[in-house]
Amino acid sequence: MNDPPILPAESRGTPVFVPREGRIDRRQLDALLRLLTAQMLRRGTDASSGVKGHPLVQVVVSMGLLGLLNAGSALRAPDLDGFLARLFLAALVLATLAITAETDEVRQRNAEVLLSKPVAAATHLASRAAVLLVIAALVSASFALPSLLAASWRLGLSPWLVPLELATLVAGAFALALLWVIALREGVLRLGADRMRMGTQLLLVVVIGAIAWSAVAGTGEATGGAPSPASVVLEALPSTWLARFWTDGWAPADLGRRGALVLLGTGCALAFWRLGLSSPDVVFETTSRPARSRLPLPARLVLAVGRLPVLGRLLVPGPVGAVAAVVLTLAGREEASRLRGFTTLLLAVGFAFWGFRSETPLIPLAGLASIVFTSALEGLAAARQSSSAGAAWMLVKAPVTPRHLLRGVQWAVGVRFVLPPLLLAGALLVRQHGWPLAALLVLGELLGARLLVASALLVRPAVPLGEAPRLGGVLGQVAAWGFGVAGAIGYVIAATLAELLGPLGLVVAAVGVAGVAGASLLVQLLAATRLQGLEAGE
Amino acid sequence: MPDDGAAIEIEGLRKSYGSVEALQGVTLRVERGEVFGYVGPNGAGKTTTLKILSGLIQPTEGRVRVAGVEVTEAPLAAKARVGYVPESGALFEKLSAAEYLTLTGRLYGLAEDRIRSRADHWLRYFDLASRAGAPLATLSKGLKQRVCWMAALLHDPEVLVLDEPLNGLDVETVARAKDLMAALARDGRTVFYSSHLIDIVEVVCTRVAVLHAGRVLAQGTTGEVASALGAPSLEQALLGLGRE
Repeated sequence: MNDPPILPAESRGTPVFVPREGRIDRRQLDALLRLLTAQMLRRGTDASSGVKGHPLVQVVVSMGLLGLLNAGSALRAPDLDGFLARLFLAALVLATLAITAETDEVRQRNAEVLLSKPVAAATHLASRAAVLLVIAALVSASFALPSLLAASWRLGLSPWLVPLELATLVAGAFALALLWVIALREGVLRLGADRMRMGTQLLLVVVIGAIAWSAVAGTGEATGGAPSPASVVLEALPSTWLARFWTDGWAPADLGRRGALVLLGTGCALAFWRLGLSSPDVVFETTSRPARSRLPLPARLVLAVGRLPVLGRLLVPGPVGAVAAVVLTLAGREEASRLRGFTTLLLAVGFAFWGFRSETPLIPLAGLASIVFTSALEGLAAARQSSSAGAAWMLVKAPVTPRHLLRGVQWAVGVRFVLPPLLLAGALLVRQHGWPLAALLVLGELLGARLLVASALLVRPAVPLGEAPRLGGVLGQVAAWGFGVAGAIGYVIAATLAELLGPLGLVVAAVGVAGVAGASLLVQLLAATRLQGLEAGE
Repeated sequence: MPDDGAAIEIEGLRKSYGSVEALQGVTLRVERGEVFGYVGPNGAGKTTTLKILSGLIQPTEGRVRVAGVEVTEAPLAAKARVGYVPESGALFEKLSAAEYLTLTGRLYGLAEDRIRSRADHWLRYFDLASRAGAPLATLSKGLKQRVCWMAALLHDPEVLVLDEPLNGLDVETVARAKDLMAALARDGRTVFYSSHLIDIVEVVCTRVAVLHAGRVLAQGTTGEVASALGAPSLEQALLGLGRE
């Protein structure tokens, strides 16, 4: 270093700037917005989830794709009013649930950086409201725009009304977001930030699943006849009034609904403002409930298998159980991985439901077989990644053989990701084929999933938890889908052969399963040699 | 408004987190132009005190004046006079150092030309000018810590509150930080310095206070504190507390 003067030349000449309490300082507001939006929208590692990526692109693409899917339902919708009502409800719920409680780490960072500055509570609140507006607008507009355009094309929505409907939706989403953050704040106080985040994220996945399902399988409301209970409830919701803000007439009831909406929006804004001003430091003062210290259920399950007499030490030797427990504990707690597999599981439940209602559930069973294999790859992706990737040195330096590492990963993936859809498939297989063949098919799928995990590690070896989380690449998605389809076809061939050949079919199936077991063992040994000498972290 | 009295006055300060009493009646007085060391074992309540001084959290009871301003009565006026380097090294890491300092300067109401000249000065002083445009996420822990120092110094605060500010810094930057603390004190500014690095505390601080279980056990020069605690040195005194 050279030797510059210690204090700046004009030191001691700085006038102290103290903003007025209760007033919004525009320059500070501008600075806060730049800070917060850059942190929220720029490419990089998300401070809450540890996931690398571009949040803005992610939101626009994922909500846009869901919106495109939903737009397809305009083709089946019998009328504009019903379509808009469902669209607004879905968009408002999505935009609300997209706002989650901050993690304790992020809340602490925000507090330490921002609350130590001389910024009035009114300015802080205004910046928070502006950020909420950005999120509400991004999510609701990305989702709703394709559907509004489709409604304009198919259902007679005037093109002039498209921007008005969109603006109304964004305003509604913003008002709801203001109310939602109050609820979130209360939830964090009572339940802790982690539980609130988990709950919101789960709900969001369920809602996205419901929207996708309704867009693909929904038939729309039939015209004429008695209205269904769902449509009566929908009719009474403020989201429906909002959807018809511009298309309703001028009767007193219509005017009353518009007035009620304006009052509701104003009420949300006032509630947000009053609560925020009365407790400006509640964000920092809130102490979340302590983190869970108990091992997640899948980890306890693996360790319990390891404690079984005789078989336990063979199936899950100590080091294998330890590796699996570490992977499962982190996968269950880290933001980036704990919701992995949830969407697939919902899909599996859907297939199982379909299968149990069907006389010949070939497609649901093939679908479930496909999910077993895609879940295995999804689980492997979770087992590879951690937001503390550098800490994977613990596994590299531990006295654990590569084969133990690999088997630990196989157990973790098997119990957490493969077992749930496999159990659903198993129940359906028993009903369809009876016990002996069902048991063989389930065992075949389980061993096939293990073979897939070992093969994937043979092709691309990785230390468990040694990679930083990132959003799934297209290639990985295509591979998972491909293996899923292969699994489905495999099931159909195996089941058909076994049925056609009678008792001989069982023998053929058993030989096939033994073959998969052998291949799994062989690939496991080869993959273990590839794991030798790998380093932790990226 | 500010007066010519002490830089920091703390009287009967208490802070509770639920049933846990982190501070149990802390009383301190730090004069202007002092580098004041605040030491004690982990969990003694040091960070809690510093967060109250910086306006991050409210005391449960007691009176705190910083640069002549009551922290609880006029929090904005107090924050405007304090610079804070947090222990966590918290930053908005998708910004570059230059962006972060500019936006921090605006939050302190500095004029744009002053922000530029101050940021340039501190970027040079902490030898970070060549990395000023890089996202903070790409910097090492020590370089991020330098940015925390710069952000705390940008508005020329009367009182600098430092919570383990030398975390991750290299030897040369530690030397610069020590020089800086001494220069600030000579210039009439006050440094409130919390650390576990007792050898550095003994060198740079004019006086120290030892905090233990939320209470100040002793305050004065290092020699006075050591003898008040019945130990040959400050380090020995703290070792004794750690064994309790």
